[in-house]
Amino acid sequence: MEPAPQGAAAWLPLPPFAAAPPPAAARLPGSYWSGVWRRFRADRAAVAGLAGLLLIMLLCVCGPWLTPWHFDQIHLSAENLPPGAAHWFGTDRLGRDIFARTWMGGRVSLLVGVTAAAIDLGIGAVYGAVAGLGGPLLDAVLMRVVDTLYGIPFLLVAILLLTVVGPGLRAIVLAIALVNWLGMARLVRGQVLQLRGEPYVLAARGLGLPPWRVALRHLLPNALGPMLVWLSFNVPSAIFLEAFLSYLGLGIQPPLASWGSLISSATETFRLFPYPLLFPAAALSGAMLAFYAVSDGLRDALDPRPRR
Amino acid sequence: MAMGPAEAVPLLQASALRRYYGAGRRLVRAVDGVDLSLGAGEALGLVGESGCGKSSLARTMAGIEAPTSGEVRLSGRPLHALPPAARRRVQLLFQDPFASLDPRLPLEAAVTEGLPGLGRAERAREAAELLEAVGLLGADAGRFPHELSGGQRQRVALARALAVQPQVLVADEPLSALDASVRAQLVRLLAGIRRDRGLALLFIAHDLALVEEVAGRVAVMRAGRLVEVGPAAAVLHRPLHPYTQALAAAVLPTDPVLARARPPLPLRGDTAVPARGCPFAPRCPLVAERCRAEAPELREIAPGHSAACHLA
Amino acid sequence: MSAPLLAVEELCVQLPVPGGPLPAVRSVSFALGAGEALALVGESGSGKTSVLLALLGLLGPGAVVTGSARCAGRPLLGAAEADLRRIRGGLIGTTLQDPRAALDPTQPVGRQVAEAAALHLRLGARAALDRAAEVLAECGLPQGRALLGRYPHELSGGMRQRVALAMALAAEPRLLLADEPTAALDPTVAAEVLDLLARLQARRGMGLLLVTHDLGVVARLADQVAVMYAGRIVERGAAGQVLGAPRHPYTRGLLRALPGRGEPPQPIAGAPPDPLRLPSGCAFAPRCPRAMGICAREEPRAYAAAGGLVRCWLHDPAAPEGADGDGAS
Repeated sequence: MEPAPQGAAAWLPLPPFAAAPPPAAARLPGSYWSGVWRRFRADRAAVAGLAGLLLIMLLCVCGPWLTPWHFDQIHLSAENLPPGAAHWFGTDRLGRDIFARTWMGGRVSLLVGVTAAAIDLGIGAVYGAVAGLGGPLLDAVLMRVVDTLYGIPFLLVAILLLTVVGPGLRAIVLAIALVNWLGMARLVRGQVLQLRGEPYVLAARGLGLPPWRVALRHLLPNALGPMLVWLSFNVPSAIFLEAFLSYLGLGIQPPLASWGSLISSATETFRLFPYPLLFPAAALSGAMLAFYAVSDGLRDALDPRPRR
Repeated sequence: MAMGPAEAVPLLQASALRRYYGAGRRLVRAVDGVDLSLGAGEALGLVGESGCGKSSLARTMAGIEAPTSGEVRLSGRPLHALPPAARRRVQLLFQDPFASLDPRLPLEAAVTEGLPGLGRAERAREAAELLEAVGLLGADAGRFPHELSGGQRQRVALARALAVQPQVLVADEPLSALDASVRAQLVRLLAGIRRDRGLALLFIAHDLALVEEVAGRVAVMRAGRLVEVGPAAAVLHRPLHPYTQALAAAVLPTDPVLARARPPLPLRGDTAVPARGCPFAPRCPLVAERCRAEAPELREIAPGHSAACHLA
Repeated sequence: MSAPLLAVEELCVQLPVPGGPLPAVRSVSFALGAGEALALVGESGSGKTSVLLALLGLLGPGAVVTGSARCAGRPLLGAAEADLRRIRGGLIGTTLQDPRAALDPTQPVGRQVAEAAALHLRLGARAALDRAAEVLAECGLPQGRALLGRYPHELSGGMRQRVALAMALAAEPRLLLADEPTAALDPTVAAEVLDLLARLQARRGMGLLLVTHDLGVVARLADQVAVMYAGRIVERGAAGQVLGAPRHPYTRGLLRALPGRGEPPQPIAGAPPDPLRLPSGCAFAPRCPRAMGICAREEPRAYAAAGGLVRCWLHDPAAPEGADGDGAS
């Protein structure tokens, strides 16, 4: 073994902590939500998704104004044209401009999606939260209602409503309002029940915070993650359900359009004339993709812990 | 009654406290008739094994849960009748350092949680002060709980409790999940803070040696009841109740010779609690007929030292 | 000691974490003879659990493991998965920290113990159940037969730990790896489980590698002790020596931090270093009351001491006289 190096100075005592490495740079605090925004911004896929979603929404609002053609204007001499200078997306079998119809249809589909999300949150989440926060009796009553309604297929409700109210968007929105929120209610109730018992929630109550503040500050942010995951399933499924109903002739009636109805009516002639299907389908897929990116990014941004 | 040193009104007092969960066949008698009092500035230890009800007792005495019967009084007034601002003078510390902080909140928000309505600058200042009072850096205010070690998280939890200027800390095994050297750090911190702020402490643990360091008086709990109460040194070194004797015998010394020479534990099987008689009878090495027939009450055997045993 | 039952040399483990490769274990070497018990002692983050997992090949993909480890002559590191599966449970039994995690809540207890026996001893179903009852009885559950049909949630914590032990022992392993065997248990139950472990070890001549942070457990069971800090063994020796007259300032600090020694517990100032940002020189130097200039510059070598070793500059021949004594901290 070689002799130890150094001169006499090496053996002198060190003051305490002289050998400690410098602490890592401190970070500014700021509120939880500002941190969420910061993390979201740093996620490129999420930002791209958000941009895409905003672009699509913009097009849905303004798109029909951008062309001189009205969405239900029929040109029997200009049927099934491919994309060109006059009709940017081409025309369908009645000569209607696909560009205008795609974005008009987008309005309906997005409306269905937004409605589903709003009802999920406004009815489902609130219902579930009340059940989770209330006593065992209230919880049992509320959940038995949910369990009963859960067994009824959405399609059946939609069809029943349609016979009562008549086909169209109103019936679909009504059907969504009646049964689509049940899953969210169950989810939120489960989350609330579990989070209620967490020590940090008990500590907040012990600090004298009123229950509404505890719910807003602790229960909501911690339950948002699973809620977002649920939304990212439920919203597209509502949109696709509307498409299916329209395909069956129970939903949107022509000349009104939704992406789903546009796609459905274009499937028959897809082989010969692909464009009436292609563009609405691309718009729908693009919107869904962007939505997933945003909801994934949001879910990750809500949690300050490192991934994996 | 297990009263502390002679006082006009103890700071925190439990009388005939019962906390039951469930009903019928599923009834759990977590706390089954406990009288306990804590004087201002006093440190009282509570030891017992898992399932003895000490956590339920802690939560009930801190006002987080309402008792099934009996009552808890703070400075003589019933705890549940007090407004939240007064009730929070009793603060609870939890065992699991990883669950006691909301993972989504930065430390600044976590420690000042009990102080709503502060301006940004004021909040930052308060947070820095609180963090430093528990031995952390003010600059850590922007960190999140997952960046901290277990010991550091418990310090944050302590800071959060201190923010509302409590008079009593109820600590439910706050150190059990921590390494030994970190425990020693926190024991010292707690002692210093208690001294500086005159806090009373109800310290729950299952490590007898640790409890002796922290507390002046100790109560031993089993199956929802107190079996022995008295000065720490007396209870832990000259225990009167057979259960306390068993607990003391289970402490492992760090000398290998002593550790291996330890006599085997005197306890016998069956931990089920009988419906009649002393709850400890099935396991007690000294059990007599009377023990099975009649449940003993806590009575004073030596000055300030009580035990619930017919044979003490 | 003839060929040791377990021989570990220069074991290094690097774990892939978001911040870069984390050196969890740095050049750990020790040897364990048949019938002997060695305790790996350290606090959270010392690397002791990573050592166990490395020996069993249970570190995830992406972990970089170098060095060598042999049990009864068979190599452990880098062995083929098929070999490792035969070794796990067969040659080496393991009990991990939380007995709840070791037991499948959906299967009766008897079947789980019998499974281990059937797999490694190649017993038929009936014989395996018999063996299971036998092992359970040996582990302090004499009503073994009655227990075979019970589910884990019907048992108390102490009983679950015994079942987990029985699973580890069912196939007659020659080495038992135990990670914090009493951490989740009450003191009285823990004491019983430790007594059980000591009896089992003596009766079967089994080797025992014990990973724990509890020095009381070490005192009860260990013949040899290796103290780990920041991935390295800083002191190793006979249990009586390490616990009675420790040589490394960290070991001394650990013992002084315990309550119940007649004086108030003395904490060790500071906290263990971030393994991704280790200080230069000795990892303990920032917290060491006896640190010297050289401690901050260079990692200490290992010096032989009374049948063991110490990794500390205070024990270098060139260190000042009396530096290694237990002076005022």
